[in-house]
Parts: sequence; structure tokens; C-alpha cells
Amino acid sequence: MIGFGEVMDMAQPERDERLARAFLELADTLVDGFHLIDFLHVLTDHVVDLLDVTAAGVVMVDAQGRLVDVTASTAGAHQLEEAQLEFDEGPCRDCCYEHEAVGPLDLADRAVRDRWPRFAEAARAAGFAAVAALPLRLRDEVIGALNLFHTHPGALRPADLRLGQALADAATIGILHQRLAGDQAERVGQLQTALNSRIAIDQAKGYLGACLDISPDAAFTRLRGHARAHRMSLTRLCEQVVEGTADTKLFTAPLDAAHDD
Amino acid sequence: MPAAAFDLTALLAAAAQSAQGLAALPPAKCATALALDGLAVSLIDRSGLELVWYDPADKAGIALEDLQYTLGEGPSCDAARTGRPVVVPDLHVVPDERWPALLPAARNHPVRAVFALPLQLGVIRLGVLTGRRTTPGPLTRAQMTSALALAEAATLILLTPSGVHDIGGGIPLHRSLIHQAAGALMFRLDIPIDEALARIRAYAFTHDRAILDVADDVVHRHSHLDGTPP
Repeated sequence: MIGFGEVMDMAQPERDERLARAFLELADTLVDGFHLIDFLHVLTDHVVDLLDVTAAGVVMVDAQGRLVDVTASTAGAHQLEEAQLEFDEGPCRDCCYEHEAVGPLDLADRAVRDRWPRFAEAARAAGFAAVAALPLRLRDEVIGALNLFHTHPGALRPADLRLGQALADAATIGILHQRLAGDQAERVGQLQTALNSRIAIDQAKGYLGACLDISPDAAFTRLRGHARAHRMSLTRLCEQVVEGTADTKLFTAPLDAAHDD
Repeated sequence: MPAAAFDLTALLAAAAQSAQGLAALPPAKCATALALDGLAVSLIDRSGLELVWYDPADKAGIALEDLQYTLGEGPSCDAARTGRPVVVPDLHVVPDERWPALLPAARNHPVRAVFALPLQLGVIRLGVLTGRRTTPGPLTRAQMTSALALAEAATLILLTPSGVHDIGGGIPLHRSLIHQAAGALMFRLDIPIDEALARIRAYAFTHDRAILDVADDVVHRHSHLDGTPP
């Protein structure tokens, strides 16, 4: 926390408490009903609260490297994040693709207006004079960027940028944790579905075999043929057999009908 | 590092690199590396524990698993239910009331020490790793550490695409025939599937027969389990 203390005119104990709460909230992603956009709003709210900035925005990168999921602390900043996607230029875009912090830069500078002609004009029209972008990065992976805006040129100070990066780092770890947990929950579901499916198929083989006095293998051929002919999943058909809701033709139609494959 | 732990580390590393699912982790070699006589993994299913990883030559281990499945009680069932390890250094000195049906039956099998470790991911319980030894005695700290590492590795392998593929059809299910028998009995007796399975279990228990043999009678010999063996 050294170096963050002098950032704003706020009583030190209150400030410490708010900092602690911000980091805690950004780590707390393993909750029911986690929603990324809501979480990014929490990030931008804390950034605006704790840093001397006028507005903050976030752009995320998807698995294919496209910029998506824009959010911001104000409508004006939100439009500027959208504009970076539309124009394919701007500090967040560069930060995501170049994997490095951008700025702080003065939007009136010639070099800045040459670098992002349309973005710089839109940002100045929205009343902003300075901009910076910080990566949401864990080691080599950049999952997005945090944009900081100020209405006064030169007002984005190093101490603010350091705290902004610390908040971005905390948010990144939170998001990656949540993604990992989500992936694992999905795979647990797949494993359980796979096992349930296997068992349902065996149960249906036994049921149909007993019903038609044929071997389990012959029953399986018939189940597969029926599922194929009716364009339904074999597992679903087998579940219906066990639930007693399967099409009665499965149990009565001539065997030949099931051998159309 | 003891040689056994080193062997297990090599086995786990090879399995992790192969991306071949459970097939890359040979149960007999893992058991040897842990100085045990048998190892098995069962997954939790609606009707009990489904044996998915075992050495087909490990008759005593399979018999222990099937006994627990038949009776619905035992160290593996407890570990699956509670999510906590169950360590039994000697089955012969456990009071009968702990597992009243299992303990008398297990004395006919060459199994003395059993331990069961839950396979879990956070609070989600997936299954159990069960190890057994024909001689009584506790697990050493090194054995326990290795067994926990194996349980963790098995969990991760099961959750890879190859692991899911294994369970979805890539490997034969040891209890296939029991599920087929439950389906057959459901039709013949016009009862729900859960009740059909319960009758197969009860029949195996009361007639002191292996549950797979009972299932074979139902599927291949038209038995209705009405009391008279075919």
C-alpha cells in the first residue's frame, strides 16, 4: 500500500477502510449469480471513488482476441469505450493488444491526435483532457484494459496509476478465479451426465430386452435405430424407457423397422 | 524421497502428459507404488457408487467394492457421503455395529486394511479412491500423502475431455449387467427402476451371492428373483 496514501484528500482511516473493502470485493467472485458486467461496474466504481479521476471504463478481450463487454462509470465514458471498438483505435484497444499500460497522455497533444484521430476528438468533445489505460493482466495473459479519464491535462498522477493497476490486478485475479471455477463446474456436470447416460442406456437395454425377449445387444440396436429414425438422442430415449414414457412403437413394431440403419 | 513415492510421481506425471484419460494410469502399478494390494475409483451416482477404475485381475478388490455396492455400506460409502477420508487399519477389529452387514461378509475376503479417500473439487464430491491391503496395519504418513496426491490426480484426469469420454463410453462399466438386470426386472415385475435395483441387492445379500451373478441370472436366465434360483 506504500505510495497510495497521498492520492486523495480523505481521512487516512476512512481511506484505508475503503481500500480494504475495494480489494475484498474484487477478490470475492466465487458467489452465486456472478455477472461479469456487474463486477466490472464494481471495479470502475471503486476506481472513481479511490483515485483522482473523472471517469473510468473497461474493455474486455474474448478468447478470440476481440474486444467485448464494455462498461464504464459514466454514460460519456461508456460511449468512448464503445467508440474504441467501433473506430478500432484508442488507449484501451492499444493496451489490450500491446499488453502494456498506455499513457497518461494529454488528448490535445499533436502525437495523440495523430495516433487516435477519431477517439481523441470524441474524448475531447466529451470534456476529457487526459487519458491512460492499464492492462487487466496476469503474467502473459491480458484479459482487458481499464481506462482512466480526467478533465484536466496532466492530472493523472503516478500514484493514482499505481493504485489503479493494483485494483486492476485484483479484479483480474477475481475474474480468472471465477472463470476457472465455472469451467470446473461445467466439467463436473459433463462427467455426471456421461455417467447417468451410460446407466440409463444399460437400464433401457435390459428393459427392452426383457420386453421383447431379445438380448441386451439386440435391444441396443433397436434403441439406436429408433432414436436415429426419430432424430432424438439415444440417452433421452433410454431415459424415457426407464420413466415409462417412451413411444409404444418401440415395444410393438416389427423388429425389422428398427434395423433401417 | 522413498522409492514408492517417486514411482507414483512418475506415474502421475506420465498420465498427465499423455491426455489419455484413466487408461494412462494403471491401477496395479499405482497400488504397487503405494505398497498396497489393490486400488479402485468409484464415481457417485444416483443409485450408489459406480466402479470405473480398477485392475480386472484384482478379484478381492472388486469383490470388496461389489459388497459395498450390494449392502450400501462400508468405508467407500462413508467417504463418499461425508467427504472425509476413512482409514481402517484392520477390518477384523472394527465393531460390527459400524457396518453390520459388511463386516461379517468381508471376513470371507482377503482384505484387512482399507482406506477410502473422497475425490472432490471444492465442495463437490465426485467419487472415492479406495485402497486395500491383505495385511492389517496403518498407512504411513508417506503412503497417505501419496494416496491423497493420487486422489487429486484421478479427480483432475476424470474432469479432462478424455476422462469424460472414458465415462461416457470409452471404458466398459463394471456394473453394466446390474443396470441391465434392473431394467429387465422393472419390466417383468412392473416396478420402478430404483425398486428393481433394490430387489437385486436384497436378493444377493439374503442368498449370499455375488451381485453380478444375480444380475446375470436376471438378464440371461429370465430369473424374476422370486426366491427360487434358476
